[in-house]
Formats: sequence, structure tokens, C-alpha cells
Amino acid sequence: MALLSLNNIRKSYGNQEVLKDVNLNIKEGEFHTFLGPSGCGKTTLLRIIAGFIEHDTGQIIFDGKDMTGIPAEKRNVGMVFQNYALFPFMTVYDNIAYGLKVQRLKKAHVKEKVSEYLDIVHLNGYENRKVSELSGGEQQRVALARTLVTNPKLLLLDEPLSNLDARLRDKMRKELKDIQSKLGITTIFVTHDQTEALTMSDTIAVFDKGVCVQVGTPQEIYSEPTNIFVANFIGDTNHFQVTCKNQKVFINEHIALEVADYKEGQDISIRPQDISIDCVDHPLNNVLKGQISDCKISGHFIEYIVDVDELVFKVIKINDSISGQEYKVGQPVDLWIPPKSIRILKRG
Amino acid sequence: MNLFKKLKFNNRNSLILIGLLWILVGYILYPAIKTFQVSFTTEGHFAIDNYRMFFTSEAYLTSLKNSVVLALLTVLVCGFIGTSLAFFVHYYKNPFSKYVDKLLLLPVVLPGLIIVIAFIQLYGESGLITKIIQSLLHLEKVPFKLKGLSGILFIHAYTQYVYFYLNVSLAIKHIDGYALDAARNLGSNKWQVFRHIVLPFIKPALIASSIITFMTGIGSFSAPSMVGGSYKVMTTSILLSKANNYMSLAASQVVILTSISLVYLGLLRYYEGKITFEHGVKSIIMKKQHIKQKGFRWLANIIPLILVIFIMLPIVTVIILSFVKPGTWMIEIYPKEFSFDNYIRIFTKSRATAPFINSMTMAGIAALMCVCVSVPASYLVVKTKSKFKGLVEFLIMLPWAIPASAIAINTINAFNKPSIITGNQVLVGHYILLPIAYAVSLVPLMYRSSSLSLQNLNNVYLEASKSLNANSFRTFRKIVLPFVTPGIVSGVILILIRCLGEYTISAFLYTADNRPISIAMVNEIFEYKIGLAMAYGALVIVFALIVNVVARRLEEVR
Repeated sequence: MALLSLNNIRKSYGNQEVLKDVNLNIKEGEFHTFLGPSGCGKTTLLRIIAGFIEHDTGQIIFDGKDMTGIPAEKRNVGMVFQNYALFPFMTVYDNIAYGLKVQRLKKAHVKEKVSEYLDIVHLNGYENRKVSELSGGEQQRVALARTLVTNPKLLLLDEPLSNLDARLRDKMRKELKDIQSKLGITTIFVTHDQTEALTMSDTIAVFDKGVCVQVGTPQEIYSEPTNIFVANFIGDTNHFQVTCKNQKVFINEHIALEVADYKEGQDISIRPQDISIDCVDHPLNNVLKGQISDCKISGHFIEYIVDVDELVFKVIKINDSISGQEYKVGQPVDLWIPPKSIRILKRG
Repeated sequence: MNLFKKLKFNNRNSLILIGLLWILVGYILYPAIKTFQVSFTTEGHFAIDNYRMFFTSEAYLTSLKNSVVLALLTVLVCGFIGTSLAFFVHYYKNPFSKYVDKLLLLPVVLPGLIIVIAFIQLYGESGLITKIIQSLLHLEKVPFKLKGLSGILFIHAYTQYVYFYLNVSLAIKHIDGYALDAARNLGSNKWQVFRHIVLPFIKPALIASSIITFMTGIGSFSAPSMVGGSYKVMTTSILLSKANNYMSLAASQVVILTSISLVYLGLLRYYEGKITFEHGVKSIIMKKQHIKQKGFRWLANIIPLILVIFIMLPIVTVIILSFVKPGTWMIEIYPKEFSFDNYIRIFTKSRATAPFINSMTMAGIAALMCVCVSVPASYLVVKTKSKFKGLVEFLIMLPWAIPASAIAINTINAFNKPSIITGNQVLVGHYILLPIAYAVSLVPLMYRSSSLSLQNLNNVYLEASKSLNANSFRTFRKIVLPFVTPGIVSGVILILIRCLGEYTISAFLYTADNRPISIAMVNEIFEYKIGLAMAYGALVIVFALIVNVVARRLEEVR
């Protein structure tokens, strides 16, 4: 049974609809991510779950209870804010102890709990530091400890890694996931970063313009996007508008491709790493003649841009020591597009 | 290369420093020390007679107690009014907040004396409001008296809530909205959020406002002298001692009054240091709270509006009464005949014109003095690494902690004999003494304004200008001036306004040559020439409002 069910949640500001009939179920212990570009409504939905914003219509069932009208302070939902929202006039200890003091727990118990959670977030010895003396990463850990120490049933994380630099972000990603697994706490994580979503989540809900467009595991979202928005937003893709006829897709008058999983649709998506260049033993179908027009090396990968009859294909190859940069700009090549790699998508 | 590094300690800077120290020590520190010395002198010898006299006289001790009580009550009353208003306008959603905010700040630009006189005309024994209420309710006696402690407090409440309102409003605007959400998320109810989060956020503002309100409260002179009646305070008592030529007694009173100010300042600064915190860099602006209870919401919207009417009333009164025809409003409740006679008199009769011209001229001189001292001082403190910058800052900010009446007495004590500082001149009885004292009391204001501007001037701009081959003069003209000018101009404007209506220092130091508007107003009131007094007042108000609008525009340009 789901710990949290969102049924037909709607929210508008004036004439602007921010959330349109959102339906979601989140299971106990799950690490669930709301993924989407800025302004897609993911943070609004998170704040509705926390109780900071009231939704217009729909129902939130949390732990078997309808949350409508229940104030934020009574929901037992913990939240870590994008700017951490640490209380600047309190020490690290007082920040973490705050929620426990509000519950009027005994001093000794508070002390014990704070020390336990300082340990979990690796900040022992930081009790008396001022918030302003902490680095971004440390502030984030304090924020996490402050929320977790109150033992919430659901943890909400609002882009908590967005204020950290790239290296620290990687480290915190792992730590966050480890703590979540260790405590087994159901978590909703809001982000616009697809790598974060793919690497951390059990399930992902992708949002576009207030609509939840797809829900699934990272693998499902990546390999089976249901529309072109998801395909474009998650990972790189070669996107073409097509006409479907006679079990084939026509990108233009000259190029028709065979598809393994044929259905009616208006767009196709082909992942760049699925396309082969100059494959010696490829079959005769789905082979296109082109010319390398650009080549970019981005560490592990090499990205080739191949012009085919006024169309542009992006192809990604591993930058290993055996092949390296095999093709030069201007070189004519054959592209093979495996029928299995072509995914036909419907509009909308 | 850093332009200012070059100037770290060269000849030009040394010259500026020597000049500055000469002026600051000579006109700020030396007078204070002189007063201290005079207070321990009886008939040319060291003695503690003055203090013995003070601490054994019940009347003097009462005035001391009264001053402290008045100052503390002023802090409480103004703290309550100013803070509540700040919350009504900035913490809660209020449909009129934009307009109400501007009008609530009005008393800050109005000279205290004019407000006192306007209050007497409105709420005094024969005041308009008093009489209206009396006749409406058919009372035999007046319903209230604008006298004593409550009278002074009533006036202080009007003139001094602004400090709390201004600072707390600013603090509310800087509350991190997410911190409030976080507190609720951690289980706090609305009251707990207020007590544990909102209050600590505004506490530094409360402390800062309470310091400045206490200072103005304990140094207040016009309200106690005009409506205090039998409620004697230190400032009025000092004037009395001076008038009776007990200068060494006055000196000891000044030392005691200044000490109390300094002790309060020290204590609160110490506390302030303990509770101040750094705001998070990525704070999110707090969303204004919506009041759910209809009754309370209605009240929160309506109270500031009522206060705006209350604030506008004295200003409107001064302007209306300035048109009362001389000699017509004696026994009736409301004036009936109006004319331009008072204004015609001010601008045609030289005796009536003199105070206006005097005040304008002296305000100009004082402002010029302030600029000449503050600009190099702030430059030295903000942009150089001089070892003396701490000393310069201390000296220039010192008058901020000294009540105006004390500054007046200090000035008399220092300049009643020829001295090296004044080029062997006796300044007491001289025209220039009053503008000097104005300048001394207001120089911290100018200094704050000019050093803030200089802090905004990042050295990178100067380096950029240099790197584009501009010479020093061009850099100063095109980069430094545009940055600093608005700050200096708004400082000058504030000083002009303050000098124009200044009463305390004027009452101690004016001579027949430089009788200012404030003294003329009070004299006219005592001679029952209410209309003429009000015409002076109206001119000052109009001037203050015009320059205030100019200052706002400058601020916007900045």
C-alpha cells in the first residue's frame, strides 16, 4: 500500500494553472524523485505535501489519513530546503535540537538524539559552531540532521544539492542516498538534474508544465520515454518528426527506416549511443550515408555530429584507448541505426 | 595597481589626518573634557562640591530619576507602537502598505519643536481637539491635559516611534521565508514560530532602535520644557543652571547625563554584539502573512490608517493656523478669519525675516562644516589603512552619544576663553558658535552617510578606470563623484532639516545676532502670536518636505 497518494491535485495562481490533475502513489521506504525543468510545478507540489501551500482541488492521503486542512506543523513530514533555512542566530546544536525542544522532550534525551544525528551526518564536534562558520556542505548536513532527528514519516528534499559545487554534489549525492537507505525513510527528492534523478531514485515522476508526464524506474524513464519531452529531458536524443507508413517511419522523402516495434506516431527518438558508425557487419537496412561535420571530446565520450542529407545526427562513442578519435571532420561515414533503437512517440 | 594603496600613508594623507584630528579633538573631545574639568572645579580649585550638591539635593535627584524614567518609558511606548506598526504594514498583508509606509516615516523629517507646538495647539488645554471633545461631550472641565510625564510621553510617542518602525520594518524584510517554513515543518505552531524565529530575527533591530530612542528620550528638551510643567528633567535643569550662571553645576549635570547615555549605550552595544548574526546569503524573501481571523485582519488594516490621520493632523494644523489673521483668534474655539498677513510679515518686516534668514544661513554653514570634516574622515576610515582610523571614527561618532544640551554646555566651557583651537578667539557670544555646535551634534549623521557611499565604491571600479587609461582627475570626476555625491547630498539635506528646526542647542547658545526660527517661534507663542509662530513652522515643514522629496529622488537615481 502506498504511504502517500496524491489524487487529482490541482493548483492555480490566478489564471495560471501550476498543477493539472496530478496523480501519484509513493510506497513506503521508496526514494522518489520529482524531476522537471524550472517552473514545471514540482516544488509547488512538494510544498503542498508539506502543508505550506493549499491545493485547490484533489486529495492527499498520507499514512491512511486525508491531509486536507491539516497544518504543516502537524503532518509529521520533514523538509530540507533549497537554501537549508538554518536559523542564523542559533548554533549547530540549537538548530538540530529545535524540533525536539518544540516537542518538549527532556534535555538529556534531546542531547542524546542530537549527538546521534550529528554522528550520522559526520559532524561530531560542531555543536557550538555558528551557522555562518559552516561551509555549504556542512550547512546541508545540519539541515538534514535537523529534519531527520524529529523522526518524520516522510522526508522532502527541495533541490538540496543545487547550492553545492560539482565535486561536493557528487559526494553528498552518495551520502544522502546512504543515509536514506540506512534509515529506510520514504523520501521525495525534487530536482531538475537528470543525473541526480537517475542515480539516486527508486522511482521518478517527470513533470512538464504542471503535468506529471511519466512515472517509472530510472531505467524505464530512460529507455522507454512516453513522449518527446521525456526523451529530450532525460539523456540525449536524436529527435525527428516522421510519418508512419507501411511498417516504416519516413523522416523525409528519401529516408525511411525500419522499426522493430512499429506503431502509429508523429515523432521518433534515437539515443546517440545506439547508432553505429562504419559497422563492418551491419545488415543492409537502415544504413545512411553521411559526413562528419563536428567532433567534441568530453572526457569519457566522443560526440560526433554527422550530416545526412540535410539532417543532423548526433552519435556518441566511448573514448577508449583502443579506438580513440577514429573519425576526422569531413570524413564520409556510414551510419547504421538498429531498428530496435528507434522509439516511436506520440505527441502530447 | 590599487589606487588607494599608493595613498596608504603619504604626505597628503598625513596632512588630512593632522587637520582632522585638530578639528575633532578641538571641537568634540576637548569641550567634553573641559566640561568634565569644570564640573570638578569650585572657585578655581579642584573640588567635588558640584556633585555633592547634586546628589544631596532632592530636586536634582528627582530630575535625574525623571529623565531616566522618561527615557525608559519612551523606549517602551515607542517600541510598542513602532514595532506593532512595522508588523501591521510589513509582516502581514495590508492593502494600503505602500502608502501607509511612506506617511508613517514622515515624523522623521519634521523638527521636534514644531510637533510640540502643533500638539499644544491640538491637545493642549485650549487645543482644538481638546475643545472639540469638551463641547461635544458637554464637559465642564477639559477632558485631558497635555502636561507632565504623560504629556511628554504622548509627544515622544509621536516623534520617536519612527526609529523602531524603520529598523524593525527593515529587519522583517530580511527574515528568511524558508526559516519560518522550516520552523513550522519542525512542529512549531504560529506562536512558537514568532517567539523562536521571528523575534530573534528582529532582535538586533529592536536593540539598535532602543539605543537611539533612549538617547533622544534622555536628551529631549523641547517637549519637557514646553509641556513638562512640574515634571522636571535633567535637560531643563541644566538650562536653568546655565541661566543662573552656575556653570560648574551645569557641567556636573552634563557629566552625569552623558555618563548615563554612555552606560546605556555600552550595555546595549554589548548585548547587541552577543545577539547579532550573519544573514544567510541565499535567504528567500518572506511572504507576507495572511491574517485568517476577519476581525483581526480588519483591525490590522485600519489601525495604521488611523495613525496616518493622527500623523497628518499636526502638519495640517500648523499649515492652517499659519493663515490665521493676527489678533483675531483669542477666545473662540476655532479660528474664523484667515489671511496671508503672517507670511507677508515674515517676508517684509526685517525683524520677522531675520530668524528665517538666520536659520537658513546657520544650517548652511553647519552642513558645510559637516561635509568638510566627514568626507575626508570617511575617506580615511574606509579607503586607507591609516593606524588612526579607529581614533578618527571614535571621535567623529562621539557626539552621537552626547545629548544636545550637553554639547551646548561643552561648547560654552571650551570657547568662553581664547584658545589655540580657535586661533585665540572667544567664541561665546559670537554668531559662529551656534552653527559650530549644530555641526558638532550632527557630524555623525553626515559621517555615516558619506562612509556608506564610500563603502559602496568598490576599488575595482577605480582600477577599471585606470586600466582604461583615465588619469586620477578623470577617475575622481567620472567614477568617485557619481558614487559619493548622492550620499553627501542626502546627508546635507538631513542636516539642513535638523538645523532648521533645532531648539535645544539654540536655546543654550543663541544671541541677539543669530536668533533662529525655533527661538522666534517659542517667543511668538508666549506673546500669543500663534499665527506668526505657525507661519514659521509651516515654512520649515514645506522646506523639509521639498528637500525630502529631492532626497528620495536622489536615492532612486542612486
